[in-house]
Amino acid sequence: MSRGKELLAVAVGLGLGLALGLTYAWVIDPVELYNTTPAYLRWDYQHDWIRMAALGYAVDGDLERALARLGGLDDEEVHTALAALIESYADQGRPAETMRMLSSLARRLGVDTPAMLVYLGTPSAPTIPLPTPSPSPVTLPPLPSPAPTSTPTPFLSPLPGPFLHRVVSQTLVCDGGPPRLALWVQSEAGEEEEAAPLPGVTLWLTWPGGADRAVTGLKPDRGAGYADFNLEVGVPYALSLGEPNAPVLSGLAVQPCPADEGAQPQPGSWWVVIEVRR
Amino acid sequence: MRKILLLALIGLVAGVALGLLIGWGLWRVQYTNTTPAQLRQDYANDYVLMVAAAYWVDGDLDAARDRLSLLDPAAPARPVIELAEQLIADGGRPGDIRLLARLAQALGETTPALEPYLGAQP
Repeated sequence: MSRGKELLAVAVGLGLGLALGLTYAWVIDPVELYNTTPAYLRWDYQHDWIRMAALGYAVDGDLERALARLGGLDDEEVHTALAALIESYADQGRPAETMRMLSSLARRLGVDTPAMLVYLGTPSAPTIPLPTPSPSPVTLPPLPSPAPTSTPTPFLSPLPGPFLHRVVSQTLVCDGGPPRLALWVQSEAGEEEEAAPLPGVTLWLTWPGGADRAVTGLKPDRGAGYADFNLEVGVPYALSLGEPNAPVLSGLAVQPCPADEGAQPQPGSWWVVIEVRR
Repeated sequence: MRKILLLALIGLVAGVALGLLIGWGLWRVQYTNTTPAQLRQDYANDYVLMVAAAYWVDGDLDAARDRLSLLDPAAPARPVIELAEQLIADGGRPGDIRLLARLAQALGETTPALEPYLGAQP
């Protein structure tokens, strides 16, 4: 009986002590983690880490460093964050070199998004499709507001043919935004068919010492025939379809918009419609 | 009776010790939602460097300041300057130092040591 009481006393003491010890260790003074790794970060901080690792690669081009920064993180998280970054940067019209670097890193990590096709030469990149008759009328995407100022454009000179495509119109757009070249590519209207927007047409913008590529239809909200490029003031550009060495436009440059007397003229954008002949 | 109390006390002490061993060692609280402030120093340095690179690309100073505030809410520029000066002392990559110098300048907290690294491409 006495032995039973002794065991009971030890057991009660042990149980009470265990409860006190765990309460102290888990609640009152838990282990505080310092010296953690990115894998322990809250998911939004982790996404930010991934985005910044990619941007770091865009700046220094150090693949080994970028991969080390992304090492230990969940592959799916990395893919999701990188794809979101590239899509959002493509929508924002970030510089082509930045997009190329981001796309290159993303491809290295197994990410594949439509926007990346524009910046990575791949066999699966869209090419100019054969024009097909379409019963539906062409619907041009809305022009940026405020309404553009249409002016004759003597400084744009379509090169002499023969070409499979031709420039239908060139319009100076004065919307106060950064200068850009917005393009609409459509099929040639036939006797019985209306012109139709053409998605998947590769467009090349070249300038002394550089080139950029875009594909129509990657911004579905603008329409299947739409693509655009950012432009720099003072740079002469040439625009080609399909291949970079067959320009349909040359001498393309940012032009100032009409301004009130004494006001600083703002650079305008170009709205160009191209027709691919049947 | 005294013996029983003594045994209970021994049990209590042993229980507390066991509880601490389990709570701090074997099954400690699992942290999965940490912040950048809890990163190991080398990762924290990488974090600051990446903030500077992101600022170089996107020019979003508010975002850079918010990110740095996670490390030092009172003086967000401090980790940038400290890392830049450490890299200068250690002979770190000039491109990294330029990124940090530019961000520090944007935050209005540059130092004489960083001046030579301002105004150049990383």
